Amino acid sequence: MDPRPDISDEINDLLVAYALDALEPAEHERVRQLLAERPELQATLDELRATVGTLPYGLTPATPPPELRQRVLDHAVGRTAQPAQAEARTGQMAANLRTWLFGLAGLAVALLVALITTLGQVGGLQNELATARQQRDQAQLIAATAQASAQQVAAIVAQSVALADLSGAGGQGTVLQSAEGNLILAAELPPLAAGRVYQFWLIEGGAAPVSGGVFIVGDTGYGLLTLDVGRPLVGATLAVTDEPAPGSPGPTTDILIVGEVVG
Amino acid sequence: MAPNELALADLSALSDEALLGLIVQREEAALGALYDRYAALVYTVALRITGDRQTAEEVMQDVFQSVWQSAGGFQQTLGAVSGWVVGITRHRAIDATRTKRERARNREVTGIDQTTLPFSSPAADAGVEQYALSEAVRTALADLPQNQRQAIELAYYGGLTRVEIAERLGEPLGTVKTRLRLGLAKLRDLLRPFAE
Repeated sequence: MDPRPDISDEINDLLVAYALDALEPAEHERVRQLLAERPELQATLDELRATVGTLPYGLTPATPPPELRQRVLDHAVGRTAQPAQAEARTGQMAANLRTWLFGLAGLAVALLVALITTLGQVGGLQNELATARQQRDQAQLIAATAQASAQQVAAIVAQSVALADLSGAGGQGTVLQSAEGNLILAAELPPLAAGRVYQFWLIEGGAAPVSGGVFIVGDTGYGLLTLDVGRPLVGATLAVTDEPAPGSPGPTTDILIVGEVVG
Repeated sequence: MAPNELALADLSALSDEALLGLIVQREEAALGALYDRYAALVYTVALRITGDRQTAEEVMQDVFQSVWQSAGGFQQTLGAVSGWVVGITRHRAIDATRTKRERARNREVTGIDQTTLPFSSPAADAGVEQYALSEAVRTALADLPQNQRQAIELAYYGGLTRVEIAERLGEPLGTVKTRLRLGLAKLRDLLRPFAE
């Protein structure tokens, strides 16, 4: 079942790899020479490339978020996104979160909330404080973990402004800023293994990640964390990893969800 | 009718090539129409390669910016517009993944957890022809031996060369070449009615 039984395996291999864009850079010239010497190979290559071109249609379709359309078009034509569009986006984030919470409330499912206000008014996120904060995270995790109803959480969210969407193969989340200035992370993540916690990280510029606290998720997969960083975090990267309880000085596993604070 | 008088309904009826022609003339509505036509496919491919929604959205921006800037360079003799757009997507997504390796480590290149993705119904969003193609491709891929499918996916979605695939899998280079050759040949035979 070779692409062309009448040509050698070596040439078939080259054409197949060329069609799949899997050649080493130095091998491209070899294919160009072949096509120049044997023009009839072009038809075989075209057929292979057409086959390769069907591969994306085998994927399960994913739907881009509706608000992405205008952002893409603005970017394409070099137009700066309007503030109203940015507001619409953050509004969409909050709407998404409220949708989660509404669903939870409708199911009368208690949301496990880790209300951990650990950082205090620090005025900065100096790396040298990370270890101390981590220790505070660890000490307060168990004591501060509490049950709260979805309605209570929804009330907090209703008064908050969305700052960032976090996404990744591991789940999704939203970071909001409350009327009091606290950051609120709401995340939907898989159940944790025994002895593990989720840890929230703040990354500014090229600085090392600083812990923003640890949290767990309830049976529904939802977890919540609040913290007070005391200053704006525009442009900061926010991420969540799965760490050994009661937390780690720095990330020790791959990032599960990540996002950036929008302006 | 002048291009700037075209309504969206008119644009949606135009061929891909006609839309590109309007894009060359800086008709933004044509870019919007092309977006509406291919956004789901571009996003699906970008998400498959990057495994990350945020990066996939950034890739979307780069892809349509590239279409806007280089529509005049499209050569119909080298294939369909859909293949051109998907090709841009694939390269941008692979580049983005290489740049953001900390994100790429979150997933195996051969298997993003599709259950976490926001699905849409192929039947609802695509025409009958595309739905048939999707089903045919899925069936054909499922029909391949796993190691052949894996090698093809590592090349196409992972952006790996044959040598890199061999290193990744710990297999001899000759074995990888054979898997790619036999796998793609079988796909070609199964999908010939759909391949352009």
